[in-house]
Amino acid sequence: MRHALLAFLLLIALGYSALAQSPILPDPKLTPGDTFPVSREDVCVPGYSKTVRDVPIALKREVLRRYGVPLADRRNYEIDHLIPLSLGGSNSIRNLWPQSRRTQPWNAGKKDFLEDRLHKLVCSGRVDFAEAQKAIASNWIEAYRKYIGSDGGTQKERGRAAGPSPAQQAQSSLVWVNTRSRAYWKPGSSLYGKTKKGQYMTEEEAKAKGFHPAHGTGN
Amino acid sequence: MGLNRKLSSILHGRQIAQCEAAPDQLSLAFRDGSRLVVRLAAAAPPLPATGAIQKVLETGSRFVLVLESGPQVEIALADPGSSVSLRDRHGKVEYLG
Repeated sequence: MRHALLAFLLLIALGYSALAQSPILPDPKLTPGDTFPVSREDVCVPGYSKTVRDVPIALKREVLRRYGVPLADRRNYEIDHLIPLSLGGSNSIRNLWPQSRRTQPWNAGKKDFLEDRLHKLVCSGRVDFAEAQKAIASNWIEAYRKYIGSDGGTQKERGRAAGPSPAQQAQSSLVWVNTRSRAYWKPGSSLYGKTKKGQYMTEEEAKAKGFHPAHGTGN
Repeated sequence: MGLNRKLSSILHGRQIAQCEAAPDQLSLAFRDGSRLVVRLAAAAPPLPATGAIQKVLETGSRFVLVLESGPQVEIALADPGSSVSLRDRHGKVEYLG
């Protein structure tokens, strides 16, 4: 019993350690940033980002591999465009990196907010297009401090960057059950919450009702 | 090789009007005035001067244009994810990838 408790505590400690070591800034050798041959006028057309192809799953996995992130940890990371699509960033692997969703205070939510703000500043002519690209590629945290401030932005943004709400946290502990195939999916998997027929429930409840993990793992 | 759904749905049926190949870039002009530019890792093989696009296949750096008449042309992308651009006759971006 005592050994089991020690092992459990060790696992928790390792988990926190992994989060603490999450890459905060992209490796400039792996991810220097890359752009499409587009202008400010191009990116300021509504719907511009939808013209860009989605990042293939194989490429996302290669990004994780290059950064040494185990596939099992992928839900803690967002494959982020260092120079965002909205500022002309490309889908080249030189513009992609695994950004932590969970580290505080700097995380994917914070950078998303910066990206939105910079896009508005560029399209309103208050910030030069190339300057915005360079700033976010060089050091997005410094860019955040420069264009938004170190106070954490608006209340709405603070909410986004602070991590999941209690309701979201509650949902993240649930699995998504496909009531037609009787398979269930864990948070972070591609079909989580997306099948036509399904519902959320705890994993224990799903097992008790005879559902099985998709692909044997639910991932 | 995987189907590039987004680009295939845009290019399907477009008639090639002109093809210009340089060692590092391929440029296809279509009859509707749009233009596809592809940055290359290696010189492109000869392309048919006419014909319509049926679909586009893409995996990694391999990029294949399949024509409705049957032939297909495989080219090597200079930088996957950052080598293909398509603009309409007015210069508006239709596709980037």
